[in-house]
Formats: sequence, structure tokens, C-alpha cells
Amino acid sequence: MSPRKKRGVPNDDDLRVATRGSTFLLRLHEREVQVLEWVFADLERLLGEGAAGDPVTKRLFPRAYLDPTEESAESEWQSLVHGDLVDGRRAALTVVGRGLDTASEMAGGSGMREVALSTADAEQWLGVLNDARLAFGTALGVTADTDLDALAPDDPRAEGYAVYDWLTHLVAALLGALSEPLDIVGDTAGDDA
Amino acid sequence: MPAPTAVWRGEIGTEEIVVPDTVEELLGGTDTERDVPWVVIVWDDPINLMEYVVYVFQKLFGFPRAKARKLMLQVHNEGKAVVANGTRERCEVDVARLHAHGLWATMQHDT
Repeated sequence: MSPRKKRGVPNDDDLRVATRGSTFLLRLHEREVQVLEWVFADLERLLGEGAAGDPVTKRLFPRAYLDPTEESAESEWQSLVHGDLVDGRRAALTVVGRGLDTASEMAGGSGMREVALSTADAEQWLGVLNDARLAFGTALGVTADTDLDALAPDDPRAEGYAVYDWLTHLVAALLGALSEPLDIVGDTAGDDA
Repeated sequence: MPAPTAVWRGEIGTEEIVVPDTVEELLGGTDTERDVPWVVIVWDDPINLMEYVVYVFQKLFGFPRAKARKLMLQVHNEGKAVVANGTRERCEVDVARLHAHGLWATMQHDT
């Protein structure tokens, strides 16, 4: 049986996250890569040196029990899971770091980079980027009423909010891609009417 | 295990023996881990995207999308929702998994 002729690869170069069969392609400008490297380094530092009372640490590693009579259960649970939570986040940071290191240059000289991700990789990226949102959002004091568009451009928090906003967009893009059913047979993608 | 409410204290040799008053107490009282289930609660927060919360519920608990979305809306509109229940051990595992995904979850006795 001869292979089905492709009608043409869809032009989705401008998509933040494109899908090719079971691979996701995350597009980042080289300047975005630099910002991500800085964000990831920040998270790494937090995992290593984050003070227990710091609001960001508390948000990334909350309590399991609110009941004050369960204090010993809380300590026991923390001693069991905290190490694993840190290790899991560190492992995810390794995956995303490797992704940035192996990003390929996209054709056209626009400074765009492309990171190829398996579903497992994409889920790690989603986790790290969401952790970054939690860290930035907590540090910035984001509340339900925060209106990011209402900030004056010279507000000292403006840069932080811009990063937070951009991280939100990346999380949304990855979620969109992960929520789509994957093509199992890559060859016939987009061929059927 | 909670102390029995009524005891007979006797001594055999140099040891003090505490004997439960009732069969209930022998089996561990009326408030044992076995009898009182725990629930896992996810709390609303101003940072996590609604779509992200739906994704986590589907991924961790295998809920169909409609149920995951309904629970997410409950968290969003009511401030919290019970997402799982079971033994203390089971709930502790679920809370850890939810925290690993950045959701704010706690556990408490089912009332």
C-alpha cells in the first residue's frame, strides 16, 4: 500500500506550542530563553536556600493539616514528603534546563528557538513554569483583584508583573497543547477532511 | 489510640495493668482512624489558572473533564472543594501529589 500523500505541513511556525505527532515544539525567542534561564536559576536557588518562613517557600511547600491539634502528624508528614517535593522540582528543573540547552534555531534568522518535547517533558515544563508563576505571583502579592493592566509603567513592580504575565501565557499555551488528543499516526495528521 | 474512659487498674508483679471498660474501648474507642474518614480539600488561590486546576484534577484523580471542571468551579466559586476522601495515609499521599502540582490542599476529618 503506498503512503498517503501529505497535503502539506501546516504552517504553524507562529504557534507558541505546535504539535508534530507525539512531539510538542515550544517556540521561544532567544531573549525569552535568557529570561527563562534566569527564572529557573531563581527557582533552583529557592529550593536550596529558601527560608522556611518566606512567603514563597510557604506557598510552594504548604501545610497538609490546618488543625493545630495535628501538629505531630504535620511534622511527620513534612519529614516524609518535603525531600521528595524538593527532589521532584529539582528533577523538573534539570529537564527544562536541558531543553533550553538543546533548543534549535528556527529558520528565518528571527532569533527564534525551538525546543522539542515529549509529553513527559511538556508536563515537566508545565510544572516548572507553574511553580515560577506561584513564586512570582506570591512575591508580587498577586490577589484575585490584581489588575495587571492597571499598573503604571514606572511602577517598580511592572517588570515583575510583565514576567508573571508572560509565564501565564506560556503555561496556557502548554496546557492547550497537552489538552489536545495526540496524533498517534503522524503521517496522516491533518489529511482527513 | 485514645485512653479508655473507665479503667480498672490492677497490678501484676510490678506492672500496672490498664483494662478497657468496654468492648468498644478494647477495639480502640469510638473515634479510631478506622471509623473516621479523612477528606482532602483544595482551596482557591489567586494564581493558579482555572484550566490548570482542571488539568491537575484529571491527571491526579482520573476524573473525566466534566467532573474535573465542576470541582474546579466549586473551588473557584465557593473557595474550596473536597476532592478525595479515605484513610489518613491515602489522603496524605493525595495532599503531597496536589502540592507537587502547586495546588493548595489540606486534609481534615470528614464531619
